[in-house]
Amino acid sequence: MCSTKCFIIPPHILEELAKRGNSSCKKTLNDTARITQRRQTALNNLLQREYLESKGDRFIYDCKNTYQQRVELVIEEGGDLVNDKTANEAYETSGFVRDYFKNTFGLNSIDGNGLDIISNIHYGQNYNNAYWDGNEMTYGDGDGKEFTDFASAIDVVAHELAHGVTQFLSNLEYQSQPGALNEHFSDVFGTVIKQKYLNQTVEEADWLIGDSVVTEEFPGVAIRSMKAPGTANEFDSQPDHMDNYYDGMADNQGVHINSGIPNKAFYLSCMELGLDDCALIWFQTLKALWRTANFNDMLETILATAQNLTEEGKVSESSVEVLSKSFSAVGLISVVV
Amino acid sequence: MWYRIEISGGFSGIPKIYEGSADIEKEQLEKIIPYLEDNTKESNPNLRDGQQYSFQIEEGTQRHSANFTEKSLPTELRQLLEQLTHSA
Repeated sequence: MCSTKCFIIPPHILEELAKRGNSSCKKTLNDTARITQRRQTALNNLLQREYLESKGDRFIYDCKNTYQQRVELVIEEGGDLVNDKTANEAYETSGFVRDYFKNTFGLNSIDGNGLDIISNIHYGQNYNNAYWDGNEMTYGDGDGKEFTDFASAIDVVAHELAHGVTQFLSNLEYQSQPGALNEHFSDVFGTVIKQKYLNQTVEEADWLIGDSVVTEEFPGVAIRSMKAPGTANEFDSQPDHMDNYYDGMADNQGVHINSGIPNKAFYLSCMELGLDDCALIWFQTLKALWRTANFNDMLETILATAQNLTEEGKVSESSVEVLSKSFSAVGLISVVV
Repeated sequence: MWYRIEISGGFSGIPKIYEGSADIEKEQLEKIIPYLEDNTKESNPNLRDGQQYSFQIEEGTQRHSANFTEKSLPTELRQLLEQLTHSA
């Protein structure tokens, strides 16, 4: 006897039963078709609306020092700047990051599909952090003692926005080595975009992450150093070699710690290949990686990516050799001959 | 009341530990105790650079501890955190 349970029966079976005269199955078949059609229409409308409306527009929300996001919209794309330095800088820097990805790699906003770029500023009270929550970015003002104004720092904004890019390109999970790679890619694009923003060469750049969000009282010059991991501040425990790999449980098994290892490899590569070649190789590698990729997967993928880009004449012919040398210098040696 | 609050993770990855004793109104304490239940399961899987909050509180013979993510930390505990860290 066919009842409403027929919803879980495949349509071709329902159809066969209906053909044999089962009226309840026929009704179920029709109902199912209507529901499917209604869902399809709703989905199409949703996709069409997103396609038509999403242009990677920027929206800056003031959280008014509460722990709520989107409290008050203060700037939207094309709108006037306001009497708030942080809001204006968040608008400018998020636009610079968006344009870098678009103009350099053809990536249309964070998701490649014109996702709106939403920034929440003045989050919480004395809040010493910035984060990406899967949809939007949120920045604290800092406590003024050790940290200050996360939303105004180009490398912090690029770092957080790059977490969004990673989410949509490879979705590296946020623990252990895939998590450290997730952090690494954010630092990579944080530092690349900072150098572009400041119009610096790789020799001129300081290779520091978060140098402008620490105060003079902070016991260090920045949060991290890609040139010399482990030296940015008194608490900096980043290793620059696999010999010192952190295998503890803190920080999601060291996502902000072990990222120092590929960070150093990136720095060494840039000093020989230049920023643009490395940025392209790293971006294409990010697209090729997957959720559970580890350091060795990263190495094999980046070498294959560099080889392809070399054959296409898009990067230096010495790329594979330089990358092999750079990763070897941090204790990551390719096993593929 | 004795407390130990550890904030870890975040963009900086630098852990902060606040530990000490504080005089908390009985009324406020009664309000926050029910929130001291582990709430890490409410974590947003796409959260990146979010902080983790670990609370340990002792009052008399009672001990309470709980862990929270950026998104699951109740307002009452945020207020307590602000209150304690400002006085630290």
